[in-house]
Amino acid sequence: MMPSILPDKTGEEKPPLLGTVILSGYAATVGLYLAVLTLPGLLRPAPWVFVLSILVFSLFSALYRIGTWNLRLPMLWHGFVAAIALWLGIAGWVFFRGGPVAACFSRPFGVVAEEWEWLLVVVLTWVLTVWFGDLLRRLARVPQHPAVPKPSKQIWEDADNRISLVPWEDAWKSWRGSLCGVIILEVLGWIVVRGVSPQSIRPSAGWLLLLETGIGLGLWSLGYFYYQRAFWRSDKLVPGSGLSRNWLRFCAGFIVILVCAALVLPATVPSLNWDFLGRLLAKLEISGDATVPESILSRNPGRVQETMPPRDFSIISLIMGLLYQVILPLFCLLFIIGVIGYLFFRFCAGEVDKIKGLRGALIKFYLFWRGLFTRCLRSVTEYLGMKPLSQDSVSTEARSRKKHSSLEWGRGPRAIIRRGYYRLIQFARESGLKWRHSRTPEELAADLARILPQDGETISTLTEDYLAARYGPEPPAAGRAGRFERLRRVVLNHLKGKGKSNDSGDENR
Amino acid sequence: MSSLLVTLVLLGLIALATGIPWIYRLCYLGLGLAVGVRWWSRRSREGIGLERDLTRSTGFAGTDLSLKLELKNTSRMPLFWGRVSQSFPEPLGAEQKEALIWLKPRGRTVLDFTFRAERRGVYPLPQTRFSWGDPWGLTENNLILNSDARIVVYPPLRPIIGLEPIRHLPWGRHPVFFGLYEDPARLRGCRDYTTADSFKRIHWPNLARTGKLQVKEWETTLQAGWTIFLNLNEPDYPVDEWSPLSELGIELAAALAHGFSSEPVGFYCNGRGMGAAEGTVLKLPPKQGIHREQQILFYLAGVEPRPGMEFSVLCREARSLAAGSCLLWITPDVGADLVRQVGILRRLGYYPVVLWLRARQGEDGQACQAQLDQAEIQRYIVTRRREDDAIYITR
Repeated sequence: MMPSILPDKTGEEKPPLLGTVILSGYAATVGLYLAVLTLPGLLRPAPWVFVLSILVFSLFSALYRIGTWNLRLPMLWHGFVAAIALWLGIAGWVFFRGGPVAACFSRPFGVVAEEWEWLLVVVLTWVLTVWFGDLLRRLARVPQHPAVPKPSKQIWEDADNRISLVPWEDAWKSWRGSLCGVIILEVLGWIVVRGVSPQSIRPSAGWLLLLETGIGLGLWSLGYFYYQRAFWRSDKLVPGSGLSRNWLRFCAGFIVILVCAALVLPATVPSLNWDFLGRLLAKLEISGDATVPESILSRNPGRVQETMPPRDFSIISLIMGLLYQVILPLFCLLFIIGVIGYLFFRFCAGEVDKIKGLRGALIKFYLFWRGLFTRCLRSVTEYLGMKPLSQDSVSTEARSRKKHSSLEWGRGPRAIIRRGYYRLIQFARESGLKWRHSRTPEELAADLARILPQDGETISTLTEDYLAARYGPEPPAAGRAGRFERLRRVVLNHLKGKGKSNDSGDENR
Repeated sequence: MSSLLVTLVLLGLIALATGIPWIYRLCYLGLGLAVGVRWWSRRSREGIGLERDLTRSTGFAGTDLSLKLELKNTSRMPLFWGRVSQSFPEPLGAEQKEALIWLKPRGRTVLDFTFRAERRGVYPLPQTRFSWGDPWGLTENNLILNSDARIVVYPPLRPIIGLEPIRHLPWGRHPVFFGLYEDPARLRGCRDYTTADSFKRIHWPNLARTGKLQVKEWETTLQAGWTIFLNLNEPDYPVDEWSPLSELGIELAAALAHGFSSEPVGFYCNGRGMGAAEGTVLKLPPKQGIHREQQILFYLAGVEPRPGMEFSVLCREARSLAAGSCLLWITPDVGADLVRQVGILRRLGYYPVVLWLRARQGEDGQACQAQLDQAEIQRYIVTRRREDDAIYITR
């Protein structure tokens, strides 16, 4: 493989060991929670063996994922390692449960089919660890060069000397969203399982949920530390050991206090207590008979009994009911609003920035979804190695009116020369002059003279006039300004001619 | 904060709908985090103190100065992380100094930001920014400290090579008499007799005691010290070299004020600077002491050439000084008008010395120099050489 010629802008000091350990604990807790909630029979024979195996497996997957994150190994290799690890895990699981280990070698697929419950939990843990491990590793990178908060601000600087911190911001957003999303999904899963079979819920699931949330808050804080550290390191600020140590210490203490407080506080607050959801489900005609309130039964007992689906299909019917009754109408509504926004957007080309009120909100709504769609599409195409979408076809700014920064030059010969020089340099930049804030007029003149060698003296005269007008104590004479304008136009015409000849040369080539 | 709030709202709705105790506990956990962090943020905002010490932020150009920042946390909660940013203007290095800190409960820390004073001037100290936040990224606070504090960078004190100031020279081409204003009641001391000393000044008891001729010296009765006149009238400076020449004049004035600080020194200038109202001349009559030197240096730190205040204004101001004062005229333009005005002062009993600022040695201005010689006025040419950056004074 050819070595990359691109500069390595991020340093990989060492894998975040503490983050790996906390992450594996978090993933193991999530796996345990899933097992306790949905597959209670899995733990009955050997609960501690299961706990230990899931811990070991999550630790291995976290270490493997974080350790090999930057090696760019092929997907086939990851799949091979995952298959071997899972097979070894199943063998260990069978061995510690006292089952026939030889069967793992003689008929491995049969054993996998028999232990599908264990495999399901472990694979979910693996996926979770990989997901969070990637995010953690992205956050824990160390930028090596001066950074800019937004890429749009690096217009006048060499792109090679700067690094954008947008990937860190994106990773941080994903980190927060993922942690919150996992909690919400687990709570929703709790409700679904409780709706199907209320007796199957064990109290340990609640403990695990609370423990997992506590560890999740610790991970949240750790991710934030890595995220901030990227900004600090980009500005040559090194967080000392005291800062990180105290950060983690106070953080852990605060989370422990919060968990204790959550356990002590009364949790039997009066609520709608399932009746509300039961009524909703009954209205959607998807709920099981156990959840239908008495009032509905007494009102129309015959019809309800006839339409009650069997208990086994209640989860599917719940999902399908939500899909048809809630998500589909919502999607249609959003689609219609988006189409209206698109029409406004099409009819108001060039005036989008000026439109306010409801029309502006509709256009913004449309642009939001379009931007989201484009981003997703781009990431998918990049991931698949396809050609990314062109920027021009999706640029929002192309439709809005360009905002020119107003430059007030004033009046008089000094202003004439300064304005003329500014325009000359602007045009020269479009023709290939390398311009930066730090470059002096003399340096610019030398570069411009390289572009137009025949106008070397004219350019130096223009630069002298500009220097006198810009920095001299007295404003230049009107005649000098007139001469400057004449010379400037000559140089400008030569630049235009140069640009045309370049263009024609390109076409010829 | 938005992610947590959305999660909390969703959890709260679910808990309210289902009544599951463990979901309530999750809500407590999230709510405790949000409320606790908000409370910590408010307390820390009240408890953070930031002070700037500019004791070591005043000095001469070309030296390293420092700004001291003291951060205090008076609350009982720790400060997990904080970032201090202090920018400096372009003449002070144009740097953005930053530091990362953490503070214990009721802790304090002192930061020392060193910067390079590259150019003289009086610069308002830019704002100091202090950002801090909680370990979950839910809140972030900023404290911006503005004040009227100024960083004063005095002009550099260059060595003056070739200047031989004469305060008392009773003979020669440019005699400088000083005896008229001595107070015989205030004996300052004795020195060896030199040619042309008056016989009346001989200290006869000392002659008897030591066998050597010695003369008495008395304290002066009038404040007839050194007075520096700096001409910063912009039209008097050549267009192409007004900046280096004005800087040369300012640095020469600073070096002279420092060199004569043990004697009464006065300073008059027609430039634009702090300490003088717009459209007026800065007047610092001769006075002895370190305070006067500081006043002069402070003015020179921020002074700039300006048009509209001609050299003759300074000549009028010079007439209010005590007769016999030595007037050091620092000017880039020596014309017939100046020769005439300074000649008048010479005839009035002052001892003017013209220090002519030149970018380089040249043959021009011979006529004016001859006129100055004819009017018995000391004149020197002031130049600077790139080799050692010293100020050279030649006749």
